Amino acid sequence: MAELQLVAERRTEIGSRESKRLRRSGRVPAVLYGHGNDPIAISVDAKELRQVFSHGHGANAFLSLNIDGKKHSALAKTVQHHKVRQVISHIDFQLVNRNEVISVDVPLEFVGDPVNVTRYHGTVEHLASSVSLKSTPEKIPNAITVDISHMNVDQILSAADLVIPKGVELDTDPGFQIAIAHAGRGVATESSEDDNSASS
Amino acid sequence: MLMPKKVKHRKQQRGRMTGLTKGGETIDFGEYAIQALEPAWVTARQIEAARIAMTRHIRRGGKVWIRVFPDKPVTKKPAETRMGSGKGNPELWVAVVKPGRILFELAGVDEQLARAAMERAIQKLPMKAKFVVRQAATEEKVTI
Repeated sequence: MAELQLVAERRTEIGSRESKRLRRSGRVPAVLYGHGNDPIAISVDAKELRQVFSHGHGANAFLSLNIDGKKHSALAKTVQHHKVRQVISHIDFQLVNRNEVISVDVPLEFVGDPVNVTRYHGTVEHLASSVSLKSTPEKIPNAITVDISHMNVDQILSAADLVIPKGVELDTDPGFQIAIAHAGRGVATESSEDDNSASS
Repeated sequence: MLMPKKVKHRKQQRGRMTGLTKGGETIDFGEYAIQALEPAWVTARQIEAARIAMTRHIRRGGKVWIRVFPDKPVTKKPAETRMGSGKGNPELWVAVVKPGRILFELAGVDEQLARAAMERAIQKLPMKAKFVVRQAATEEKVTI
């Protein structure tokens, strides 16, 4: 994964009121820290951030932050969203080295139609949306694909069943449950609904 | 209907509903969800009505999660009663919902059916709400 360029500006005034003004002007407040350095309050352009995160890597994009002409390699450690509008309200960037092995949460992408489950009107419940992986920043995969097409009813997929790319290690318990296939609840009838409501 | 099995105090003060939800704003279990856009007290009857509207529309398959629980007792005085003589009797149970809160989640059906079912459920709720979809893993966190 190549480093994606992102220009950031230092924030001289900090605080919630100043952050609100920044957001209104189309910028996102952020902070850069790591490797024992003092944290730097910065801001990035919202449109540029959208472009960087839209390259397929999502929030795990390996970034080169340009602050006052000096470049810093970083990853987005925490992304805070507005609770209703879902826009990014703040980002924590963490300094990383190109050869440093780090632990990141990589999203899971469920693919395939579980024919053996849907035949019985069942569903596959996704118990996890991401897994923790250890790798160098450049080898972080965009997503881990989970094929659920072969699943049967009452079968459980765990982290050990995932297909992990070369150069990347699983940083979670191999028994960590990823997905489970449930049998269907059958046809919803008037009587069954009433029974259900009476019991609850 | 949903209600607590036992409570420490039978009657509560009404409280305020300022600000946004403190938690429960992400889709954690299913693929589709109903998200509240206004603050409201959602009664146990409304939760049950919304659940039934949804499950009857999807007919078979699918799984529904209810993400709110009516744990607040609401009291009412009997009709044609003079003021005073203490607080009324507990009549119903409500969930205090603030904007951003995920109310229901749904999985195991296609988006079109999920949207239609959840639009019906929204009609049973006392506040404005919207249908939301869990974003694809690699698209997550890109909205600005």
